[in-house]
Amino acid sequence: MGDSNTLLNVAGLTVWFQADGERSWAVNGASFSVGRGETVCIVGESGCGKTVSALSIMGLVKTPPGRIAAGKIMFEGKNLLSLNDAEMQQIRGRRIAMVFQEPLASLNPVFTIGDQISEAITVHEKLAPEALRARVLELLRAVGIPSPDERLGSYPHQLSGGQRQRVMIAMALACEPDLIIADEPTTALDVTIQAQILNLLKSIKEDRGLSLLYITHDLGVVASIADRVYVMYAGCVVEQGEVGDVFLEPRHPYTKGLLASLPDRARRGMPLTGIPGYVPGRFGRPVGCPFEPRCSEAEKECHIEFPQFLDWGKGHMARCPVLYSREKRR
Amino acid sequence: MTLPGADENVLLKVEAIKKYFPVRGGFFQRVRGRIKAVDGVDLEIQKGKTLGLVGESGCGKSTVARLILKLLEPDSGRILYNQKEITRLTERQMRPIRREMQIIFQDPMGALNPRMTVGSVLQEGLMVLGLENKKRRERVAQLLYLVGLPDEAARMYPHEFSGGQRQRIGIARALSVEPSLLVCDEPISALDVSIQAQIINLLKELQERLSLSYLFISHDLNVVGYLCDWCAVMYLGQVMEYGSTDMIFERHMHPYTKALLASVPAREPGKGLPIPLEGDVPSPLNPPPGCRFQGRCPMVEERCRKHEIDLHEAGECHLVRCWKV
Ligand SMILES: Nc1ncnc2c1ncn2[C@@H]1O[C@H](COP(=O)(O)OP(=O)(O)OP(=O)(O)O)[C@@H](O)[C@H]1O
Ligand SMILES: Nc1ncnc2c1ncn2[C@@H]1O[C@H](COP(=O)(O)OP(=O)(O)OP(=O)(O)O)[C@@H](O)[C@H]1O
Ligand SMILES: [Mg+2]
Ligand SMILES: [Mg+2]
Repeated sequence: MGDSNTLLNVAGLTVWFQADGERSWAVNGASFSVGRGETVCIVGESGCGKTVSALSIMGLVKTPPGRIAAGKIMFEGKNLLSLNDAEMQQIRGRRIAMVFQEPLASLNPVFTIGDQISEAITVHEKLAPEALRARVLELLRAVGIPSPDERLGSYPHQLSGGQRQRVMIAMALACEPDLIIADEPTTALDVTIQAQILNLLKSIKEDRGLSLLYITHDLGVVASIADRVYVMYAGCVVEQGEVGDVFLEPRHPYTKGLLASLPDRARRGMPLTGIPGYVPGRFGRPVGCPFEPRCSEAEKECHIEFPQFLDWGKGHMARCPVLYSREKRR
Repeated sequence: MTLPGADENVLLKVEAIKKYFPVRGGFFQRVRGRIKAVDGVDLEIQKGKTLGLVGESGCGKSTVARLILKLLEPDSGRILYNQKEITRLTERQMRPIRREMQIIFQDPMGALNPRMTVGSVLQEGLMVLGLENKKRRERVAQLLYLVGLPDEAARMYPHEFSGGQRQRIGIARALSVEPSLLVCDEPISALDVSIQAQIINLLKELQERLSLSYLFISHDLNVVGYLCDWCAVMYLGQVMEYGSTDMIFERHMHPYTKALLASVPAREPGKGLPIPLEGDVPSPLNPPPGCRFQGRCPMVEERCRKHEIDLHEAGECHLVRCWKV
């Protein structure tokens, strides 16, 4: 990732939550970056820290119970973690916008969608009423809401799930951000509607030269939209790289296990290799590789060592004690 | 409707079942309309095989499941179990058959009593079978082993388990009464990818061991392609296409089946974005006239807008509901 081309660079992000007197490490030293015009995916199973990473960027981690204990979030040369509330307000919505999984929870049920999009615009930009209305209509059109004039006065519950997600995207676009963070924006939707939203995000991204940080647990979605991907497990990035490299030549046993867990027609009659054991519910802070308890390739050292990333070129890297010591021995 | 195989291989047959839900509102809660949740569905589940039921949210999959299990009364149509009609059986007549058909849900927690240990949850079913105390305990241990849970699980409560483990408990409970048919309504949708694989493997293994039949409801077409022998594609309360899984995936004829499959993102990088099907599913309160799919169909013609169409044979063991075919 060339520096001048980097829009967002998160380094060593560490976030914990205090619950029942115990700390649970939601994000444990994760680093990732998004280049200008790039689509980057973060993929991983439930609870691995995807949403908390996104909320950290947005400055939306509730403290307490949460705490960003370490790390830097560099956005266009500024560390977002050192900004005050007013400065962060300027970034949020205006430069970086977020689209959530459940649009119904993020839309206000008692305001029309026209009002809500107007609001999203006026927070950052004062416009005359006609200009504002024109802008709202333009946004609704851009996200493919049919007959937007009639839809301005609709309430969220009067829209389908896919339309609500389009409205959320319109709101995210309202201030022409440089980066959109989409946190599982299609998980609650049908595949047909998911395909619509993915196409919409891609065309918007290209038309407006945005960057997209897309969070999902669906490897098919990753394969179809990502330029690069980060695979997370238990708060840590364990593998990263261009999507073709990671999918076709996965290195970390977790990535391999994930890909081998996917059923499809081609694998019929063969049992899925999968991954034994369970995703830990809440985690302490392991010294070694967080995947060690479930890893079929684990060796003694994995319990106590979690070395740096090994690089296979083109930014394809994985962080695995076994691979690391094998490489060192060579 | 005739589908594959001789009748004795058919465990469950559904013929033209309908279920409309009244929608009430306004003064005196008058009936203002009817949701045509299931509008003339035919299905067949063969012994020891899996029928997949796919389609977008709200197309009536769960309602079909509830009709089959007789948790809902159909407005019309017939349900045959082992070639015997069960559509109008009383609760009492139904009892011995009810044991043979079990269901597992998407959210096993909702279906498990939080105050009962897993052991007592499983014992309940065994009491129905009339097993004595010692036999029951043995059987509980067997069931836990069968679904891959440790012995200690019997003494624990549902909330002490992860989602995947709870689904195993749900499966163990369903199996406790030795059913022939297991209806699986989105059993893995709420689980993580790696845990999904474990449950899919488990379902497969149990089917082979116990020669179970499955009705597998899912909107994940990859899972259906992996697991199911037969496949029915539903849209707005009707089956649009029906055939062997290979037929549905490779030689489908209905434009809806095609669109549904095209909207699944490919797992191989470089294949580009899935192709979207435009528009939203219309309201089941007033479905469009003619073919249900006409408003979104890229191949729509005049007759599709005017005339309803039945499922008809498009080849051996292949049924399609489309004017074009
Ligand atoms: N407000 C909170 N209080 C306590 N713990 C929290 C809080 N928010 C998140 N966590 C914990 O942080 C960890 C990471 O959560 P996060 O929501 O980032 O996961 P995720 O990867 O987004 O999962 P999912 O795929 O389920 O959305 C989890 O263990 C979660 O329980
Ligand atoms: N008890 C009920 N009363 C009224 N309407 C109902 C009832 N149960 C289901 N419906 C409606 O019937 C239609 C079919 O619902 P059903 O739950 O069978 O769909 P589904 O295919 O299982 O969807 P999903 O994939 O979201 O689970 C929907 O429009 C639903 O709103
Ligand atoms: Mg999340
Ligand atoms: Mg359902």
